[in-house]
Amino acid sequence: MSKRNSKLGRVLTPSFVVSILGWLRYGAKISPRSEVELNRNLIMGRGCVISSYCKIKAGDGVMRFGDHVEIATHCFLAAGTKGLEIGDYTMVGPLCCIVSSNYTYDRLDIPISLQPGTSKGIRIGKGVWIGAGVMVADGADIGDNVIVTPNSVVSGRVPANTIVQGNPAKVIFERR
Amino acid sequence: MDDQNLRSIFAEVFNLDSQAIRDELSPDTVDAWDSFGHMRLITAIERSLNIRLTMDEVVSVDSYGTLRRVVADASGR
Repeated sequence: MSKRNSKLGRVLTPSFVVSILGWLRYGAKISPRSEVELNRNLIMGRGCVISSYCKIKAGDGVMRFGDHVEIATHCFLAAGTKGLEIGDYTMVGPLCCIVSSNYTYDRLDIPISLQPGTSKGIRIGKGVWIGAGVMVADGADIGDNVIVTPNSVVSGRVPANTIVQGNPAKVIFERR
Repeated sequence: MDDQNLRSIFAEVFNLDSQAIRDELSPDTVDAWDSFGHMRLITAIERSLNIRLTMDEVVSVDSYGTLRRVVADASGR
């Protein structure tokens, strides 16, 4: 499918159709008030939940959800060319932003929006709990069973079984 | 386990005067001792004193006095 047809399909497909297709294909509960691109780049496990007013954009790279991933309301997830992966039973709180792409900004004579994009990819492990308002930036690698406290910013590697907080998010506790 | 060490870690985590630390200090009397502060405190103690508390011990700490006892037990293991 050409890029133009893909864009047309995205605009013209009613959201309730996306919800029905999501249910039939993946057993997913996708709110008709969310904006989800059900294309070949979006791979979902069983029983995922996408709440209202989320935007899920998998145009440039692969976005892979495990089973029972839950995305709360008002989240923005976008996969850059290196992809975005979220493990089984991970919960993403409301108002989170997870974007696996970035701009370069090494030229002052060209607007940043016209400079080339980059992507390192994002990996979020299994059983992770991401609190409200968290920003997960490109290159983040969050281990299994991590808890990210609300309003944190994650851009690097987070060891498994830890609780992280702040900007940049740092380990404040090891779960046991 | 040196009590002065624990006192200085506690003072640093909660930004207190180490002379003002008493056994009665608790989350009710120390403003910064909320759930996140508790986790920061435990992690700072574990890293500085090279000990490991169990989850039961972590949740049992409800004052500086109980913290002292729990850390002393863990240091003796």
